[in-house]
Amino acid sequence: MALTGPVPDPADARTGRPTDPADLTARPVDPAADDETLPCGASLALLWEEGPAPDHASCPHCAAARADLAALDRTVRAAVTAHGDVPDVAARVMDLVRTELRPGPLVPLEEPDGWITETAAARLFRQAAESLPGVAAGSCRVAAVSGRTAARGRLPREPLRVRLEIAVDLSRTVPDAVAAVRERILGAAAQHIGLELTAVDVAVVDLLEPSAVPDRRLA
Amino acid sequence: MNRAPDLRLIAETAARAAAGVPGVAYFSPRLTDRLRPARPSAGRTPGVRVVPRDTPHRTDIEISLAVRGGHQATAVARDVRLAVFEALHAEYPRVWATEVTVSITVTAIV
Repeated sequence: MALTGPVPDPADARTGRPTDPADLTARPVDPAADDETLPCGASLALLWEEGPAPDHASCPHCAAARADLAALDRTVRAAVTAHGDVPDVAARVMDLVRTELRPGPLVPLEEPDGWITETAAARLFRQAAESLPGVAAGSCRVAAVSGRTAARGRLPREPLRVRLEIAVDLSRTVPDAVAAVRERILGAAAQHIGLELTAVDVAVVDLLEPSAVPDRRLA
Repeated sequence: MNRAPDLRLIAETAARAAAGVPGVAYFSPRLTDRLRPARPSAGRTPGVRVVPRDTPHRTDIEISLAVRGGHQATAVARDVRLAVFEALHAEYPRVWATEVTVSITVTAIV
């Protein structure tokens, strides 16, 4: 058995057979590495957001998955209501489920054929930013410095930039806050991921009232 | 006799090896593993997917996992890859003529 050398570009034509013999007849491997597909080939994310695809109107896989997602939604909302009115939590849980369906592109690690989801990296970077008092982190995206977009759900193995939006209070000047956050993100990327970022863009998009401290317990 | 082992056995061997690596918190089963399928599929290994390929002739093992805080994701991914190769080599020596690749996706740092 040969140990792997450099892994061929995933953009190469691939055919794959499902591993489960109980699955339906062989179908092409879904090109988006991060898109959940049901055994019938339908995208779970699209099913949830838009309903069954036209040619899957009577598909048993789609019907069952949709029923389960609806049941999940009902269960979460019921559980939250039973524990007191924290409507935000239900939304956040369902956001987590959606995130699992669409975790964003895969970010390449130094390790050959090692990847981290943009969602996991972004969460780390947001936490790193919010470790500074007076900073609330918002949208966080990872992209190639070159501007090349993700192909087949994967960012290219190239220098990467992180863009993070933050809100800050007035305890620091904006340039100081930006510099401090940038340093935390570079450090977190190196220490916890092993990722060397080429650029970190921090955009201050809002000012925090002194009392608007982010509730990190729910982060 | 070059008979490829059952894909499910490969997945189980890979899962066992990966689970033994310090820094692996848990496997990340896909949502489709957790939702009840219309047709029951026995014996799926959550977070581990084995895909035989024809062009080029290769067996791809795809592992999704969460990394425990305090461990560096890249190092864990490397250790998992090496552990899986070692385990497959030990259990199925000289059985395959095909190349095997192991890809690891970190879905969370917990």
